[in-house]
Amino acid sequence: MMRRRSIGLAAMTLAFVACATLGAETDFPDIIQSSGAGPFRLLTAEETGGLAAPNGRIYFNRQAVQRSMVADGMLFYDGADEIDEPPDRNPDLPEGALDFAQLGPSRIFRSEPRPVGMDVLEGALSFNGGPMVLEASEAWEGESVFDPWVHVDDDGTARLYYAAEGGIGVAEASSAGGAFSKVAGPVITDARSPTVVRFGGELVMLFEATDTGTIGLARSSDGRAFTEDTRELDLALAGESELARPGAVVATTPTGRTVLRVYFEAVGAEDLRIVTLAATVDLDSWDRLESEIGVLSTVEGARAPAPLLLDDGITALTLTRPRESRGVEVHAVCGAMAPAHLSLVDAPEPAAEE
Amino acid sequence: MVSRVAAALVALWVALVANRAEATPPDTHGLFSRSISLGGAVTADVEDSSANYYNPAGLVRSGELRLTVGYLSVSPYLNINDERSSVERHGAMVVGLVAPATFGNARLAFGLALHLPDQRLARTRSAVVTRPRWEMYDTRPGRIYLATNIAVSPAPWLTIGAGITFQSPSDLTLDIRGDAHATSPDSMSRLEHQFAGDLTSIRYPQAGIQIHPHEKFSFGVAYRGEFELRNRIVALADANIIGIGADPIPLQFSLVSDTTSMFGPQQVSVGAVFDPTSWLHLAFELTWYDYSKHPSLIADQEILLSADPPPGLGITIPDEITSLPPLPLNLHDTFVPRVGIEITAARTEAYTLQTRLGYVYENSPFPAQTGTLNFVDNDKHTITAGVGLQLTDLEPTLPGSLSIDVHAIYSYLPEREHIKDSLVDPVGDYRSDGHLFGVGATLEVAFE
Repeated sequence: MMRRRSIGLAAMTLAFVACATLGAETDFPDIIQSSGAGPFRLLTAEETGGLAAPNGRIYFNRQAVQRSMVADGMLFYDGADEIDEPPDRNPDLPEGALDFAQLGPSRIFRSEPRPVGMDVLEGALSFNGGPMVLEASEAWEGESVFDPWVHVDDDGTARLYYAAEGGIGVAEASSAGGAFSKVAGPVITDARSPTVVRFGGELVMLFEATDTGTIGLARSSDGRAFTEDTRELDLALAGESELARPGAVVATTPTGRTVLRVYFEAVGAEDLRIVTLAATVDLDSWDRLESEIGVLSTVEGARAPAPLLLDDGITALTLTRPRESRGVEVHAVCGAMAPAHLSLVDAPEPAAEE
Repeated sequence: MVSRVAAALVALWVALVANRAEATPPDTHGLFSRSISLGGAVTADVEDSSANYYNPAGLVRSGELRLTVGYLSVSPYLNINDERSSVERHGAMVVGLVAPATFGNARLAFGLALHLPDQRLARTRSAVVTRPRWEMYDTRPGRIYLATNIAVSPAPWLTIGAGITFQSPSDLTLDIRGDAHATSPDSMSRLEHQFAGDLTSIRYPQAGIQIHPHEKFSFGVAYRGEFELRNRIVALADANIIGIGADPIPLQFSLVSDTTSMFGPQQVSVGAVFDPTSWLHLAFELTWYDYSKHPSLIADQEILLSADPPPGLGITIPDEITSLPPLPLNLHDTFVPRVGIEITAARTEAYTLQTRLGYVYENSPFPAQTGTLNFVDNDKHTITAGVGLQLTDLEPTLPGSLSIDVHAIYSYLPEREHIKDSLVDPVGDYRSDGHLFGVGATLEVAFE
């Protein structure tokens, strides 16, 4: 009896060995990117609902747009209509630049709200046009308001920061979808492209200082009155002559660090303009991406980056890219995302900005 | 005198055939069920086929001819940022042999152990620095381990053993020649290529000693040498680019990549066992791993590109193509404690039933990955358990015994944070943690 059991056990063991020798294959280690440093790629047709593949357009604008950004599921953008019988384009302007002689006053618009990143059939990140929410009315503003940036505070109050001829102004609404009323301006002069985030218990504004050709930083406790820290953050690499059009986002890394990231344009040798990134945890010391091709290496002509933080470490950027309409440069409103290997389709709702 | 000659033969054999030293898949997952279930704390008294890895001195201890076959499987559940990483299950068939002999009055034994992965014979994957990789579990266990040893017992209380282990580096060459059409590469190109692959062999030594001065005590020391597996990949292209302009554009490309694909540190294990009663067996062990000598795993690459396109085509050939230098890994040495307990639950003339428990703490030699590199590793707490049934009343079918051992392991890798020095690092901060689950079985036939 014992012998039979022994032989049986031996046979079972051998069968176990034989049956187990079947192989499988696995992929290379997964790509991990939690820094938002890219490289970004343009959104696909599936991710934009087929709006205008393959150039990543998220809003089919007919007006000339200088900047767009997403807040509370709405696209805020400025728009200037082409004037009747526009003059020929100024040949001295660099390629891709707007010729304001061909355009009317710029105003600020807001799209209809929509879920971002979830609705596959209607496009994961695309927007329809919407009503005008702000236009120039104050003497310091001149004829145009542009470069919108909406910050929604913890109590739901939405503040629309915008640029105009005399600097940066502030409008407020009870929510991002509410009616905006101008409350202050100019809060920063000689500046454009405001971007405001809550960081370290205060509101921090980064802006393009048009007198220094670089990026400035100001702070505020109430979102209306700002104190300038500097008009010249030390973010430029050797050989860079200009920094412009910042867009900021506050992210929490997987290890719990709260990081302020700023995407901006940098102009280097031979007037090569890239979109790049700097980041800080304390507003004192900054780390600057040193890549010569920036975060958008494969996206030609991208301008005015405005980040939108999604879950799962996905960072989306709204951008403008060169586009002509009947001979007038108007810029296309596009979207890009990183990590590039992930898909925005079926991605989660955007995380609340800190 | 004969004993001295035998010991000298062992030393001479090692000196002649072992030119380098390396480490192995059993370093990660162990070898054979009994030893694994005791947490690997067996250096002081191992005597089965696993002595080929743990301490070759044990081969001569029992004086029995042993044939062993088994299988082990370890499933990793390793996570980065709470997402499971692509680290495959490790499964391997293991085979062992212990063959006793006599040389005059001296007792000798020869041993062999083979660890044969079931998914592939060897695996090499280049390290992509921007992709965090579980360095200890991704590729290291996935290769053949073959060890041969010889042991001698010059005195009843002393056994000495030594041997070598084999590993295989690779040397691959791809040579492309001909004409490549720039715009219609599929239909208009005329290219021929040659591929050469050379899997050579390197060897490294192991040696050990066991001292058993009293029936209740035994001590052991084992040494396993260092090894480094280098992979060399050469890609050569000597071609003409056609389809651009009127004349062919000569193109020469050369890539030489020389990398360390695996390194095993030299290591020393010191163990002791104590049998306070006939049914209780206690084992302790401490192993030193010389990980501080670990070379860089980043390939040392030399890339040359030469072409002379006619002016006007707008093609610019870079003067120099650079790659990441072989950055140091900055590993540190580790000391790994092991504890094993074996309880004889039942013993009759027909069988012996034993249960086993073990614990191992392995502190990771890898630092937190705060810079450019992303070789992920965590500390590891491992609990092992096993059962062994030895059947001893098998004559005349089997003049000896039949042992069936099974084991299970559970490893816990507590969370570790990798906080990058640069906030704009291409990868960024991440957390790593995980678990390993493993089972295995061993069947051993021992002839008296």
